Amino acid sequence: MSLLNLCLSFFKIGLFTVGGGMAMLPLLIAESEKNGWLTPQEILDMIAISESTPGPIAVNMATYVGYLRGGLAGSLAATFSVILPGFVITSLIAYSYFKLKNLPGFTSVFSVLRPAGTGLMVSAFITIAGAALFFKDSLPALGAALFSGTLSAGAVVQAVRVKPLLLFVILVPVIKKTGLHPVICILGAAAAGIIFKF
Amino acid sequence: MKALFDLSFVFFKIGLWTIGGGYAMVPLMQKELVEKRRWLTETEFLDFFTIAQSTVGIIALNTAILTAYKLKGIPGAIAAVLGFITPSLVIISLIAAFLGRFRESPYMDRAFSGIAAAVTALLLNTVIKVGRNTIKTLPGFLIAAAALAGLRLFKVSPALIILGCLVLGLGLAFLNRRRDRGPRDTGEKGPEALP
Repeated sequence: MSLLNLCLSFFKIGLFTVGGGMAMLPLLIAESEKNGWLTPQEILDMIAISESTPGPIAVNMATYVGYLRGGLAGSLAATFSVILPGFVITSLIAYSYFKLKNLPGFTSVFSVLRPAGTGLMVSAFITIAGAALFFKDSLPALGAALFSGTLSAGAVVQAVRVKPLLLFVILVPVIKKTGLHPVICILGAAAAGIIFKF
Repeated sequence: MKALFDLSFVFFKIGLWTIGGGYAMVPLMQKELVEKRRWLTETEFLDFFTIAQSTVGIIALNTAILTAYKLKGIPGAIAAVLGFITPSLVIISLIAAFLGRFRESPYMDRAFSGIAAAVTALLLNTVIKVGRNTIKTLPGFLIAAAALAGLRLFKVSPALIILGCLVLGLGLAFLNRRRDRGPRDTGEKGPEALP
């Protein structure tokens, strides 16, 4: 994996990320699959570390992948590449905002882009949930069984990682209701993982 | 030069003291930029944050660029961005360098299995929160569903999907403008029907 390749991939990720942080995830997953950067497990580690350390999540994710694939030079290359497109475009918008006081065509374009970005994030969620809550490689087999009509309850139960799934089911409403901070959530889950032997 | 250093330092501080990304940074940014330094008015801050959310790139970074651009133009924007990403570069590189050695221990593996469930729960909540903001109408829902289906079922690359939406949005903007000018109504749904 050359540094130039890393730069090009992260430039592309930065250019097509609309809506920040987690909106970058579907693009990052696609590039990661194409280039063989990270396993789904490593992607989960990356998200956890990016969410529970200081700084913008997207910058953290780029730095992390860059470091794993190319050391310190890689982390610098990936980070600067991922912020470059946003830097140029936002500077142009800033220019337009202060000089022209209006942004032509802006609203209609983003009325299409933003829901699409959300659709892509749902896909990233499916990938992440598959890696976190199901055993490795069990999902394609389940899908095949579903299509051929041979799906049994036993097969589903065997594919599920029961304890993480339970924690997930508990956490979703708790986070929604209490606005539990990501760091507390992640530290608590780590403790639960060790105590209850996930 | 002093002003550039100030910009860099303020965003370095914001980058260092906020965990949890863009939305978690809003309160601290508002306190520093609006209340303490008086670089922005309350309205400007809200405007900038709205623009930052709906453009390409990272929300918090875009807010920093807009703010710094207002104060010191492009050099200011560069100074702000450099200050902002420094804590991430240092901290994440350190973690990435050392995590590998401990990751294989069974305790770490159990901890990260728990963390994975938490990350999934956090992500689902983010998707729901974002979805509530971005999908408010049927056309919006259809666009989101089409993007999801395109990516998962037809393996279209996410970049291509975003590009397609850009073209569609520009087309709608063009139609809208023509309709605003002339009396001729094509009978097509205008972009005001979208969220």
